[in-house]
Amino acid sequence: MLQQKRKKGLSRSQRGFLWAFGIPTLLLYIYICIVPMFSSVLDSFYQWDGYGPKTWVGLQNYVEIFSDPVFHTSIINDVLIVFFKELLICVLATAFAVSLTRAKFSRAESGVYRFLFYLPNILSVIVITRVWKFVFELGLFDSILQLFGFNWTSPNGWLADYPLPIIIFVASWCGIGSYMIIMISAINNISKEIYEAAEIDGAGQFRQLFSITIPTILPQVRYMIVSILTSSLAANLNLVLPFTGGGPGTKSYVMGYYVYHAAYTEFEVGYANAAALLLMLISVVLAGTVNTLIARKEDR
Amino acid sequence: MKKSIRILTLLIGLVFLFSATGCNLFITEEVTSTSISWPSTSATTTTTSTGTGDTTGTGGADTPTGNGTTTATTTKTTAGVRTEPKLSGKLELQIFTNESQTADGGWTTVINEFEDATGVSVTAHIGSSVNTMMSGRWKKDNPPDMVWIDGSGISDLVYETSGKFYDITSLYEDGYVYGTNTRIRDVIDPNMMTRNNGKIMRMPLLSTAGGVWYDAKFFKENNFTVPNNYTELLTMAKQAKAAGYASYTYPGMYASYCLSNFIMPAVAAYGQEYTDQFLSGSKAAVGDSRFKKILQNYTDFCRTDGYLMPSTTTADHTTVQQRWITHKCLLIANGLWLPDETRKLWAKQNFDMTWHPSPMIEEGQKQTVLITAKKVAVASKAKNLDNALAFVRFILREDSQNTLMYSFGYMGVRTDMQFDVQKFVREAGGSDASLSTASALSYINSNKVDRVYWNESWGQLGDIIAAELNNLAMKGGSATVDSALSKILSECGKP
Repeated sequence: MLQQKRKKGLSRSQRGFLWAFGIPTLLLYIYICIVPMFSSVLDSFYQWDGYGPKTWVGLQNYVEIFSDPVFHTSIINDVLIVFFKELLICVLATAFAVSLTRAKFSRAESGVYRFLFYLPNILSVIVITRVWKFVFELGLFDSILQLFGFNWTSPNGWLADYPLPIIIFVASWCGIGSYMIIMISAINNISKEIYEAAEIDGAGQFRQLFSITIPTILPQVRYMIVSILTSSLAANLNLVLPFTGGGPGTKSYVMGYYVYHAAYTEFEVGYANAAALLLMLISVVLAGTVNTLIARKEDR
Repeated sequence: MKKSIRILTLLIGLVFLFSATGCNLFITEEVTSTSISWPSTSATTTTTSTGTGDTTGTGGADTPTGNGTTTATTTKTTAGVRTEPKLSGKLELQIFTNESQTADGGWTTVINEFEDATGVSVTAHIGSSVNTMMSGRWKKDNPPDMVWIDGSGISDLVYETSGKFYDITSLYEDGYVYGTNTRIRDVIDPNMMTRNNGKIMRMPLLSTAGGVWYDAKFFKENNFTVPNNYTELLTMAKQAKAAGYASYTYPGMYASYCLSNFIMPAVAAYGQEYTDQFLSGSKAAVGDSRFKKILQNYTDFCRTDGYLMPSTTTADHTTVQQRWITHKCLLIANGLWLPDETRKLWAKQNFDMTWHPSPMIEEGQKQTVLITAKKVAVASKAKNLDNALAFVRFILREDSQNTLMYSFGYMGVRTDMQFDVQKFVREAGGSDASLSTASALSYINSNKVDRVYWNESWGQLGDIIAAELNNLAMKGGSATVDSALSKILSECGKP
């Protein structure tokens, strides 16, 4: 009955408009997203180099992937990067946002800090990796340590000995700025009267932070957590590829690099499709789980 | 009367003038014509034969008709010099270069000469990302007509087994170098030919070899001796370490540099047969004690004795090259293109860049270089097959070989051409980079070294060994020679 009313509610020209704009978009979406996805699923059951004929191998690609220790390393690395990235970005982006909104910075001073924190977001990933490679590989980091009186050294080079911590640090450094802007806009939306009332009631800055600011911006924090999670699993490749190339050996392999290497270096497209499908499944499951957990906590 | 004589004289003068000019024009045309086209067809004998069967390539002036029939047309002048059939239309090429001026310039020169000689209009896709850009077209069977197989993003093995390349066996067996009476099979070094089930799908065009590079001036100033074998390498490394220098580096992000230029020559020092078995992924050869010894020496050198430059295993080309040029390290593993690639870095360093064969060989073994052929292939779905085959024959001409050799810093593949250092330096513009490359090529062509050929494409095996080299080089690393060998052996025999 309600549907009939809705149907009646749309005029002929509105329906025409919907058909005219909806159908081409849907067809385009199916052609660009759905068809390749199904094609990838299908190809994952074949042994295929991307050029020649395909050979049906059933689940063999999946069996090989699960028995490959490099794939295990890749998953562990991805999880570690995502976990620590979440931690660093969430804490620091929120801290910077709170500082820039609640601390008594002048407008100009605040603008400069916002620009500085946001700067890594407008740099190309190649520039970023180039800069940090120089820092860690050409001795600048050692000099900084020595400046502070630490004579620490790394026998194989910092990037070779600690590729994962360095990748986590640089990835977080790149990511803080954009999330900080989201947090700033969320904090700015909180009514000043609430803070004033809290102050009158005797609440200090920390009390205000934990009782007003953080609970109010929790939806944005949830968005930040899920967004970092989903984007990182796919985007870790962007940093690993120019930074370490998965090395030394396979020490800094991530799933994205595993897929890339199989497809474009080994020319095992069927195998790469299977790995890509697993990467997608893991991303969906992780994002779904985290989203549900946070939503439950918010409901409480 | 006088007026008439004057007019007549003027007319005669004009006739003479026009005759002279006309003659000059005529002569110029003739000379130009001779310089750009092959000998006149005024006195020719023509033989035409038709056969049926496989169109397994074309040789000389053979013309495939595309329907299972091959029409072979051989045209000869009375003087015995072959005349090429007229070509027309287009030709599309895929050429990987590192985008250096010299390499691009070399190809451009040869392409222009081909266009002038044949009238074919050539479209060349040249650059460092061309293989990736073109891969979609190869997948859709809409490839360029010919590809120069070099750089990343292309696998000759995959393309060949997928039927992307045209069978050029008959071109090799019966074809002639363009515009000459020279049979291709008579002049191409047979060591560089690869057959797949008896068929030739790729034609060698240039060849190169790897080793280590050092600054001869710096060595002299610091009394270092360039090592010829592993024992001497250890001696040099010990002396260098005492003086505060690392001994060896390579771009660890691409550890195949270490494998190809430092490790594989040591494998090659055990002879062509063992090398062939090794490259074909034979478990017996890879698991052999000789390779194990090389890996052990490498591990001892890099990890135990700590002679590898720190940061090597994750470094890229630029980082290691920069550190090596600023004398943080003495030896770098690389191919012959290093002087050209780094010319801007070392131009102001008063650097004497010098090449040496890999010192990973045992004491008593002869220095060995592993020669790798760089090849071209014609697409099986080439739209301009005749032109592509003619171009392959054209780039095997002596002048084309010279142009490409000088521009790339590579060696040719023709056995009838002598390497001329002076000419190389002169043709390459006399730069320091060309002097370094010329000196390396001179060394490789001398009798100081044994030449072993690398013809097999070994798929994933190379990647696995390269990754293990990084693992073995890491100080405090958990990888051992046995564990590395076990991983490598598990990859042997896979396609």
